[in-house]
Amino acid sequence: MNSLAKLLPSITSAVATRSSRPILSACLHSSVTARQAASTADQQPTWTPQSQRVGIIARKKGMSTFWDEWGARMPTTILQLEDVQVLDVRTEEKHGYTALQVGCTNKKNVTKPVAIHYSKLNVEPKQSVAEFRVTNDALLPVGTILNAAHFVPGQYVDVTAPSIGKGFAGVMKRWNFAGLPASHGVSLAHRSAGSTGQRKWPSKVFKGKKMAGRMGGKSVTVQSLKVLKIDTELNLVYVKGCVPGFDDQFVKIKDAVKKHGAKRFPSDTLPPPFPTVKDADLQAMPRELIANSGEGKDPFTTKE
Amino acid sequence: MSTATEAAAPKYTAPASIQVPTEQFPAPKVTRKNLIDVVSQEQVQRANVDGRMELFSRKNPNRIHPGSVLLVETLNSKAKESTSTFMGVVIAIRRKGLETTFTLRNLVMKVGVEQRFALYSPMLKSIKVLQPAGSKDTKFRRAKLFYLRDQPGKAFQSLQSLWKQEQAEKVAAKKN
Repeated sequence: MNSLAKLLPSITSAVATRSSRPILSACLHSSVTARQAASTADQQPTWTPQSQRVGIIARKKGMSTFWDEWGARMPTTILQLEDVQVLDVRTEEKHGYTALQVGCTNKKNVTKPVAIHYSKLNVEPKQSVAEFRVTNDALLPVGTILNAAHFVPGQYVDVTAPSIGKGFAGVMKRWNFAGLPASHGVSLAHRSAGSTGQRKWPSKVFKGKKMAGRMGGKSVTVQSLKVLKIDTELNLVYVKGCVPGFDDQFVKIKDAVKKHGAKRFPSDTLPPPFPTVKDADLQAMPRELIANSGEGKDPFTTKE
Repeated sequence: MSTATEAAAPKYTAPASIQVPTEQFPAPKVTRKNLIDVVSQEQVQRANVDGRMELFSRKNPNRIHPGSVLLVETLNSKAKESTSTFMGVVIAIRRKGLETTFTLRNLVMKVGVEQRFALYSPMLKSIKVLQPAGSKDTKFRRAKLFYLRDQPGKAFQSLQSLWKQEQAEKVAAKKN
């Protein structure tokens, strides 16, 4: 296992390695330097159940299967973090809210204004950028590389992504209407909606009436998905169940909102890596970490 | 279950809710396109405890052909030692990497019963080939033998005797 550290450097360009944080050069924008100084000057902040950690942007790579320690099989979606870095810090004083702007996947051909903007941050240009609201104690300096070990195996996450576009969908696909019978005299209306209202009263069609139209391509959040496994070297997060969108889609992952405070994480992993996993802890971690089912008892035994 | 690296860096001890697989692979080379294939192949290597991958690969000369008779033993649960066995003719093999499955069919008290097994499931204890399907000049010229549901022919006739033979072998082994 000590050879892990030697195998790290330069695996591929598409994978974020566990390198140290980029050295802040003198060409940084003055406001960024000020924000940097503010966040790193504090002591290492401690996690509280009211803290909100930063989320990450990942790419949906595909689906696979997973057997837990009791032999129960479950579907899993594999999400990969590609060069995920913090790009900007939003503070209460300056912007009116507290958030971190995160970018994912380096991009080569950018316009000059964009290239200059990123060069001042000393970060490579990113393809996908999003903000995550955090609490004041969870701020990170610009340029921090986020790793899959930010998530703890066994915790719950919410995953947001645009759903697959279905185009102009008929009413049977879009709203699960039953349509009309296939025979018995029905003319040319087998998949139609049928009636859209009453007669003289109210003499209108209600707003929001379910009709055919564009379906899909909207932002969808799947809540409370369990993290089954993390791969710290390939930067993979294995999540139980399905995630919206097609493969190679950019998805946003953050800690589950419906699980409050300490319930998001398994009780013996508290406190979670806060504000994100430290480099020293990351170097010590083995490559794969798998969550136990958390049930404690075998699901295949019946109570006699 | 706790584990520690030998590096000078702080050691990582896993809490009870996290398990660390004892056999960790070094990070493979992946491109943007083949990540899923590479990662699932690693899991296949990890799950391939008793050489079952070779039995169901595409090119191996000793692989199982559709029409062979297999005896599969599955654990009922991880907590107990008890197992269930099912014997039958292989009518379908679905090769999908880690999710490879195969279907066995048998006549149990004159009722046709099919059971599908996930090859790399940790609950699958052992696979024993009772009768290989043979070479090219056997009756089965298809990859999927779903026609046996309607026209079994003589496919299931030998299963009874094979089962008795297997039981006799088991008793003999127990005596020894």
